[in-house]
Amino acid sequence: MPDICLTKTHRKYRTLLCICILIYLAAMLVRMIKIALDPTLTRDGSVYLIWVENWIATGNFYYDFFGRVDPSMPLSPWMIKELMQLGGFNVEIAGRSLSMFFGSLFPVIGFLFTLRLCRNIRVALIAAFLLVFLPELVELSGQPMRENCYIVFCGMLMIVLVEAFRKSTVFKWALCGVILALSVYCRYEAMEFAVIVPLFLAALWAFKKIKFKEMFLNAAVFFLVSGLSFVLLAACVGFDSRLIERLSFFFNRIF
Amino acid sequence: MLESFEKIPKGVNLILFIWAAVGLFFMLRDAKVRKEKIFYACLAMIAFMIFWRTLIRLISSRYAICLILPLTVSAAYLVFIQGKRRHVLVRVALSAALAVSGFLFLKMNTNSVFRNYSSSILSEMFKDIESSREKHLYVASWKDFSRVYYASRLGDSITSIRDKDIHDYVVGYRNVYPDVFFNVESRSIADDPVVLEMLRDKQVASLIDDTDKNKKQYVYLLSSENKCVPVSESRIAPLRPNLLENGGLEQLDSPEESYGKLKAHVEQYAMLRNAGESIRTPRNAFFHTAPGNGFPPEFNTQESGAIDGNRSVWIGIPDGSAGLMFDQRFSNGKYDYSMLVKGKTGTKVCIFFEAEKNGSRETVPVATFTIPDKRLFRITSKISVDDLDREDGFRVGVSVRNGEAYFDDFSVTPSETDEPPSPVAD
Repeated sequence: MPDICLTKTHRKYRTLLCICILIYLAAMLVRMIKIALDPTLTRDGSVYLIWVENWIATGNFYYDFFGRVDPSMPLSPWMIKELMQLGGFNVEIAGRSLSMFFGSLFPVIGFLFTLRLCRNIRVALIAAFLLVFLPELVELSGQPMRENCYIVFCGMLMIVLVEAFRKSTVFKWALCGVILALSVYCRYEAMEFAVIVPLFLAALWAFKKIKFKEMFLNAAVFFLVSGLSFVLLAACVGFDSRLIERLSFFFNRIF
Repeated sequence: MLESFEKIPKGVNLILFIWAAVGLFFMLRDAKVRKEKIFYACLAMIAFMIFWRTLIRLISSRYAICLILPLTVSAAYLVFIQGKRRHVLVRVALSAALAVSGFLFLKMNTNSVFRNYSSSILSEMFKDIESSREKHLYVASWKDFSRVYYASRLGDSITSIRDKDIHDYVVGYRNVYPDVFFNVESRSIADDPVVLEMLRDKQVASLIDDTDKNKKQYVYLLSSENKCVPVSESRIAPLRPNLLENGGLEQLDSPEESYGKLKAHVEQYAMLRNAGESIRTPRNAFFHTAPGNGFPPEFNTQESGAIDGNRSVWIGIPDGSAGLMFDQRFSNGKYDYSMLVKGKTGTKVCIFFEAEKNGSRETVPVATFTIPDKRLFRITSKISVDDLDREDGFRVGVSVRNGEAYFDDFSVTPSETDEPPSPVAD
């Protein structure tokens, strides 16, 4: 692969920051045009808004929706709820704004991930361009759905993972744990990273970049921090025993 | 598993998936990339992510969206490396492939991103019907239920149904409520001529659901043929010719007959046994209620407070349902069913008939009214039965839900016109 463009000089960082802002603004513009042309809420988008409304009305996120217990990971609805209460927005504006924010951030995350992985700014810019215009993402960014923050957190986790692979430090693995908890609190499908992160650690050990003891220590830090973050999130956002049922249902699907 | 795998390209965009696969091929051929250990780790990550998604069985293709990020890197690499190719043939082939897929990419973008429609039609329609919120039932196909639920703010007066139940709802419930809105997708009713005929010219709104799949939602309004009109108590005119014996409820069963009927039809009889001997049933009719239908039901034939003549039936149940049904059976045909009712405001009166269908007894709701005030009302509704298996016929009844009401002057007359019958003076 062609060589690096990212250096540690201030000038290069400033350029990088400008590029990130431009990508963010371009993504935001495309998404705003999309919403202006087609404000239709999708079926699933309205489900999330109903969840938030029920949460505010009943004080319980795990309120039975039409008599059906359908607990979901509550981080995204919680953020919508908090935004509503902070800014006095209605549920739809809060939901869409949050999705727009995360949806526009995702091409920036894609840019940074590609840059760190390939160390080539041209490949990273092409990736960002694709992500700005990818129909699935544009469509999703207009809907108040949890996938927007889920993919942003997963993207951040991948960036930190690549960083940790290039230069392993305890702090980076701990950061992976924090972001894992955030992404799992958006969608439980993010549990896959609880396997991928240790796999990366094992690969580092297999490539003789770290010692076995170091691998074990980093894995312990990762799981400990992710568990702790999960507990903190549960204390902050809320947790219900039915989530355990949901998770067990999820594991039943696998095994 | 294969089914889940098929959803991945759909979830991450098919063109991107193809670009990523080709990009990966070029990455594997690139010696510089092959030297990078992170490349293998990322490759393992992508493989695991795909494996994970096939393992958990993807319900929706959207669940594959997290794969977009690593696949985009590979696709971007393809675009980048394409400019580096030296061999003319490879460059031409790749340029052509990228141009074609780029065109497809743009086309998909145009279709799905810039869909020029909005849900304003739906919102406008809901504004119009909001004033009559309590008078109607809104039935939505389950596929679009949450969106309609959210947009309409109709709360509990909206019901979700499966496609296979649309026929039963359209045929069975169209007269149960004064207004029934049906929100269905066109394909759901395309093969049902009965429903198509009934919904013809009844469309009040339409909404494009998905331009890519050419799906459209339609909203139909079926207004009831049933009527609930106030009547002056001093000028009650019976309907003629009344086929129902003892519709005026003037004749009573003997105490023994009443007691027997009560035991036979009131499944909560044990609860009523103290009062059971004092309850008198009208001839040709019986009271009924069932466990779980609420408690305590109270019913009797009253002389005091009679609406017309010397006797009326009084049914009261604070929380639940209890009713009166006639013994007399009617054969297939179209009838007008009518009664006088007076009761507590807000009491729900349900008119129904019971028929033998496919070897089982089936209770078919005909209409539901809410008593609007304390005045006397004449309820008239149409009953059309033409699919009875046996010659048993059907019998008519009425039930009270969450309230109390007096009933009198029940009548069943042959229906000659599509209009509800008018009272005929003596």
